[in-house]
Amino acid sequence: MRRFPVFAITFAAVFSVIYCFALHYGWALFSYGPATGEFMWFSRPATSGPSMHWYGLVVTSGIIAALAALIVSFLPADPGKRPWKDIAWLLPLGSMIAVAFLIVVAGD
Amino acid sequence: MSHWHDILIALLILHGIAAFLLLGALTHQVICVWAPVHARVSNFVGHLRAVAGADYVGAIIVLYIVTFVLGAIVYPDFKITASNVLVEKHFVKSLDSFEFKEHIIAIGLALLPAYWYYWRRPLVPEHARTRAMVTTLLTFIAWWGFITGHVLNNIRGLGV
Repeated sequence: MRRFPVFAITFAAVFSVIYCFALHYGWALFSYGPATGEFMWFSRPATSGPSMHWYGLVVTSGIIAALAALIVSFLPADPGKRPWKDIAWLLPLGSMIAVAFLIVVAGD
Repeated sequence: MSHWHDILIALLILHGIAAFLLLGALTHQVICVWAPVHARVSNFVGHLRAVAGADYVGAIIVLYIVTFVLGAIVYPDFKITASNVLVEKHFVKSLDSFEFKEHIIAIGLALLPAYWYYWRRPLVPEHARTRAMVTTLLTFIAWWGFITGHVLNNIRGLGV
């Protein structure tokens, strides 16, 4: 049962950090044009109407976080070391503040 | 009005109801985490503080996912209708609040596995602070999402 907590904590932490980078640098795996129904790879504008990157940002962050969490959870366990559990909320909290900054100040 | 549009309105209402239930469950849980009572209580506030937080975990996870999925389904319609109205009328703060909502809700979704782990029975006393903070974060996300969604809906209406 060591693997699941390590996976869960790492997933939450990595997802929240990667999400900020993905938002700022436009790392959406795909984009969607709701007016035309188009799906495009990566962060691209739709041929007409608005373009939505949010779904792609969630998927990008989810894939990277899942891979990172899987790798970390399968690393050999050191019985004396436990995952630092507070990153499960500290990094998401920091990311939420960073997202607010990116929206208000950087205009992302 | 198309049939699909009627379905979207029904989904939006369901999204609001699921969010409302989620808000209630998380608010109960966060109160019992920060102000627990173990003695017998007879008043309303006492009962609120005395709930067993762990009993809400399954419902909270299901409601969060249901609310998230329903929101993701109705989001494109918002983007091509309500969002344009908000841009035209220069509701910058409302739009920014909504953008913040969509991002923190995604972060909250990724928190759910850790949330489930920290609330697993038997509750580990060493995890009390982390459990409280993760729950507080999810409660903030749910409240922000609910208030923002409600305010934007008041600005734009249901599109009927």
